[in-house]
Amino acid sequence: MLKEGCPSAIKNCSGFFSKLIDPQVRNTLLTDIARFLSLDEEADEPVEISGQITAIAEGPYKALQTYFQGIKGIPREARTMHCYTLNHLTFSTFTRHRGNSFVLVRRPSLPSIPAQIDSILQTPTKETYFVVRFFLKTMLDDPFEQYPVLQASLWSQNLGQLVIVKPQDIESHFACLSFEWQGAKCQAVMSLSRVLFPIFEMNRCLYTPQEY
Amino acid sequence: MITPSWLTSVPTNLGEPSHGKLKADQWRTLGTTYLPISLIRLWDQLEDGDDKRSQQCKKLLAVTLSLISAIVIASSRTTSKEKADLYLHHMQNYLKGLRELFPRYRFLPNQHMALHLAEYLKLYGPVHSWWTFPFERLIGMLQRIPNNFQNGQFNLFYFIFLFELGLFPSR
Repeated sequence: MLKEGCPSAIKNCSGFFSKLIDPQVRNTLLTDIARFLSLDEEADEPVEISGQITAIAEGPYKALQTYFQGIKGIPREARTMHCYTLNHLTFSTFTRHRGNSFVLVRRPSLPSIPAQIDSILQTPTKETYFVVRFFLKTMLDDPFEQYPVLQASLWSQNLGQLVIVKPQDIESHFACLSFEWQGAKCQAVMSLSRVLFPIFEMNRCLYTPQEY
Repeated sequence: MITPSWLTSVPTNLGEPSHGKLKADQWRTLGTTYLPISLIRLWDQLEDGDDKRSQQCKKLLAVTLSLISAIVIASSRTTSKEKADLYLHHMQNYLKGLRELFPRYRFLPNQHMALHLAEYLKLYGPVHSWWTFPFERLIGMLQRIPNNFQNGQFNLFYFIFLFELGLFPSR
């Protein structure tokens, strides 16, 4: 509609078309479209957010130290963000929006692992880091294992330590349901990546953090 | 269930007539996100005994999850020959299970068509590039445009719209 030569009839209907692709509407079709569009887009420049730079709290700072593994120049100050948009999807901190804070984190050659975003930091050099807590694997029998196509799994309700994750390591959001299974409280996690990974990858039984 | 803000919401009073017909997108979310977790939670723990209801529930679970698996594969943003074959495997399992569970059920043309979808996935790639989801959505919007229900009295807006699209003959 913004291009020259667009018939005025189409322009007059801009309201309808805007409604059709309104990003505020809860609709998985729009998310699909946005995801496909983002494949052709170049990576956005990091957005500088407003807000004061403050000292990084002890927990996230320890996580940064682990992430950088002794490399000098670990930022001591950063801006804190409540949400971050990546590929047209909004990722929020746990306190802002629980659903938007649940993310699957990609790991090379390993199945993705669910995590909850605790905080989002942007350093003075515009680097963005998600401070997350991984879900812990439960020792119970996972009833979802026999249905690999669903990309669902059973996890403990307890969370791990704070860990740093880069935005590009985020695979997707997930849906989560807490319930009692075999007498213990646990949560079912279902990937919303809308991408079906090769079956051989789904059947791999590889290391995931265990609950102690 | 906790979901991200972009995921289509489904009625909390599902099954009651008050929420009206579900939209295709709501069916998709319900089928691929809510139902699998709920059904597995409810029916997977049932004991395999002489209890007829438990056996029936287990069979229903297997058949439903075959259908859901087929939907997940078909609506994935990526596809391949292997995935198309896997889709066909699950769809055939679903239809066979349906016949066993409900011998008197009469199959519909859509269920026949679903068996051809594997060929289309191989030929045309992921469904997002050729499904009619956006058009269905547009039709839904057009249906909600206020009008005076007077057939034959052409609205000026539609006239201009069709004329500019070249769908109306000019002199």
